[in-house]
Amino acid sequence: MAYSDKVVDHYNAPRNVGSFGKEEENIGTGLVGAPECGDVMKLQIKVENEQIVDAKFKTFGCGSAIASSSLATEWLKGKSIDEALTIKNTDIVEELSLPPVKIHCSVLAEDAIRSAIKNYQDRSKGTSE
Amino acid sequence: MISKQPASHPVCVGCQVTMASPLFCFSCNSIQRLNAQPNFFEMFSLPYTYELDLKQLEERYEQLVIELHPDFYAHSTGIDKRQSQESSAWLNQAYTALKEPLSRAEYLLELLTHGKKFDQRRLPDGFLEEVFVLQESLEDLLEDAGDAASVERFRLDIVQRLEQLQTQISEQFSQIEQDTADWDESLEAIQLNLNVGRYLQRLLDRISRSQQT
Amino acid sequence: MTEAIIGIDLGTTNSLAAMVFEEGPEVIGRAGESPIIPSVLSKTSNGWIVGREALPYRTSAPSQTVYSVKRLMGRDIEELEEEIQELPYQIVAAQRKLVKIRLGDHEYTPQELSAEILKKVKTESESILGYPINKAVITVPAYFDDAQRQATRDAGKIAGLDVVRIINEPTAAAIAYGLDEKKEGYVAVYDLGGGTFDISILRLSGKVFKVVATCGNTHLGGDDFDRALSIVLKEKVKQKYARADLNDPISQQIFKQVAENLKIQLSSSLEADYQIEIPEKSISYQGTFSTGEFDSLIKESLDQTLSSCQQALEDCHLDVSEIDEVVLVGGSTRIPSVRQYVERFFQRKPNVAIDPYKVVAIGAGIQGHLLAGGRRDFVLLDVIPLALGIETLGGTFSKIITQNTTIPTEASELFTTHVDNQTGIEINLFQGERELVKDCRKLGQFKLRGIPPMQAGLPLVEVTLHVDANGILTVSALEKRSGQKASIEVVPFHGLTQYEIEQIMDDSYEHALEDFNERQLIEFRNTVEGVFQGIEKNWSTAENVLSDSQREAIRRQMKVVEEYSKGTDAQSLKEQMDILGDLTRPLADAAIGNAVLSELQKSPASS
Repeated sequence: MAYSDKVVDHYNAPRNVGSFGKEEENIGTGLVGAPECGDVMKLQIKVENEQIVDAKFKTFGCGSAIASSSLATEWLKGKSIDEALTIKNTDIVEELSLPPVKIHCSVLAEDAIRSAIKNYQDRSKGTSE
Repeated sequence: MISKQPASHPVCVGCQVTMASPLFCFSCNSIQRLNAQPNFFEMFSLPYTYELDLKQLEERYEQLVIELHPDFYAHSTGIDKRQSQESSAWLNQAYTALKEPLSRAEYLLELLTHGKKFDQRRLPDGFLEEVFVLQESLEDLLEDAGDAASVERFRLDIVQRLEQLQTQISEQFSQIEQDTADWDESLEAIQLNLNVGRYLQRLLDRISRSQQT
Repeated sequence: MTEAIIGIDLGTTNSLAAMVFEEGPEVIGRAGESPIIPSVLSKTSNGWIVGREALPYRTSAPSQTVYSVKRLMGRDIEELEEEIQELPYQIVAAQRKLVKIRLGDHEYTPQELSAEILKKVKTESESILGYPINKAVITVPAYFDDAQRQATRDAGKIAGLDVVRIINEPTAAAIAYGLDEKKEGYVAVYDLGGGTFDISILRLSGKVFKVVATCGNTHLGGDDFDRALSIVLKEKVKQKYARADLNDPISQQIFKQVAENLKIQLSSSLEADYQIEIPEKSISYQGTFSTGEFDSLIKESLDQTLSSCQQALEDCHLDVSEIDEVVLVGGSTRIPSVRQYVERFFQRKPNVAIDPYKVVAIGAGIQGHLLAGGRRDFVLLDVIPLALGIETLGGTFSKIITQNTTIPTEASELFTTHVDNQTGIEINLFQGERELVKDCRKLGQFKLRGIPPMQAGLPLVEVTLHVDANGILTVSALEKRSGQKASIEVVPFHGLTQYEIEQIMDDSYEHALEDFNERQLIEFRNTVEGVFQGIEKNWSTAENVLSDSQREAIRRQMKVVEEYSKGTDAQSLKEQMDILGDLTRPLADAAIGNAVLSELQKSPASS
């Protein structure tokens, strides 16, 4: 197959675009950049009882960065924090049946997931103290 | 210490004369057979410096390009024909890389660190947040299609920031040249500026692409 | 100097050749005749009719007559859907989505049809110059991608030409001007032809002609103006003949031709009358059209060209005021409102010192002269018009060589494997400026083979894209850990494979003898006509200077020649014509004598 329809779909109609309101609680925000090309990606998770109930993203970058982050948010929903941490960029590459080149966009999505979870954990530590 | 002069002086395999450029011998008018791409600065016989004499770069480019272009090797042997294609490609690459300040800085940095990579991900605190906000406001401006003047103001702001960045980079390189600074620290500071530059450049690209469509 | 290399402007509507003569560069043509060869060809029972002679066939045999074949070069059936509906000849899908044109029971690739036009240019040039031509520089629109350039080169090959170089039309124009006037500075070349629009900005500096930006549209040109005009004309006729069906090929062609003529007339006057006659449908319509009406029809297209100009300026970071000269190229720049638009945008009068019809061919001829070793005082540096890259991450396009990069150039990319012991990688190559590969043009697929078996991710295959001075791509690959050259097989997506080209050439070689006989036959028949007319005209002289038996012999031989000219053997016809020639020699001598005498009597010196 020349290119994955799934990715094109995620590019043309990205899911979960946007941000959570500032007043909402139990949010973790990850903001990462791609040093190679200057793309930026913001990914947010909403957590209840250690379960990710919702996820949103906003990416300024190329089509593959948008597709990767859109897919990442789909996967995050319904996963526990621990499960979410096991998502690897290679999973994204595989799921989308991608050719083995230029994987930095999927790396970006993985970084964004980790950074969002870390941010959530830091903040919840802050509030529980 | 950055050397003001090219590191090596290649010698022509044909007439044994020291050449200004490893690509072509102007003394016996012969294209040089090379296996690997020579150093960009040495191709033009220019010193390793950020403050490059652009007029000189261009003059030497023009001198070389007319000697190396495949159009003049249509009747030559296969080896020279292939070499003219290869050398012309290298020459064009080198010229483009040295002409633009940011790519010149990048190339020079690579030479000075001997391939040792500084962290390309490192950014000043809060910079990524700032870029994100800039990207968001640019998106609003671009969606508001009638507002070309605001987009242009936005663009000029970014261009100005890039220019400031280049001034800083220039100062940082000149400190290294005068050997008044801690090398590693200065080189790392240059890398940081280059990292910032890529994000700013990306904003400009986005504006020009939006104008294309 | 070595063998002559001519320059050929292979245009959408017209083609012509030029070269450098002792007196300087000039188009190749006969005195008093237009050097232009219309890019039209028709397949008849007597073989191909190409050029000016083929023009009438557009209305008499529209489905057998091909024009605008350049628009089909290097493109696939899906991209051409819109075009196909307007063309009176039949287009069919062939292998790998290639297009072919069906004429009678044969199908031809656009390359073969272009080759027929090139052959015509070649044989015409040879017959004018009196020596064989084997090498040529051919021009293409700057915006042509790799596939379209390859197709052009293949057409040359099929026509028996060694295409030494492909150069961009606007660049050729700049050479023609620049060398003429030895300018320094920036030149903008605005090229609006029959089917394409290009804007190129060049920097002229000493010996170097460097393209700094190029932009354009492969689907915008004079043909579009004709089409818009014929739609309006059709509506007008419809008002009078409401029930007439005007969509058959013959009516379409009549409208197209009326539109074409009208456009030309409106270029030199404010108003023009037109007449539409379709006898088969008893349609006869007359009207008047104003330049104002015409200008509003083409306004949108012209605005599009100006936004391309703006884009090109931005790409090379120049302001309009920094442009030192604006040059116009292409037949459509004869339209006054086009010139006004360009003048207003660039804030200066465009330079039209060299005929926009000839300027591209002349530039190509100068480049041919340089390649033949005739001079080496300038070098032409072109750019690639659209980024080259590969498909990455789920159908997105990753650029490896960016737009407006000076050629020749090369760039490398590292690839690796994702399965243990994987020995091959497939890479899809694209050209374009969009984000997704589905919006770019697929050029081909590489299959890398012979990667040494290793753990996944360990091999480092360096794939290098080389773009030569013609803008044509080749690929090489090297596994860096083992130093082993990986083998590469490139499957062209739009173009012809080497095998397919060879087959076409074999076919045409087999038919070459036959073709040659046919060409001669046509030529001889035309000569016969001329000779017969000459004899009749001078028959009164014959009655004075020739004996009865001589005259009888001529009449007899004329009958014989007439018989042979209906046959198919060119050689025998020639023999009989030679006999007639011998018989009429005394008559010819006398006729010339008479002509000289009457000239002398006219001249006052003789009194």
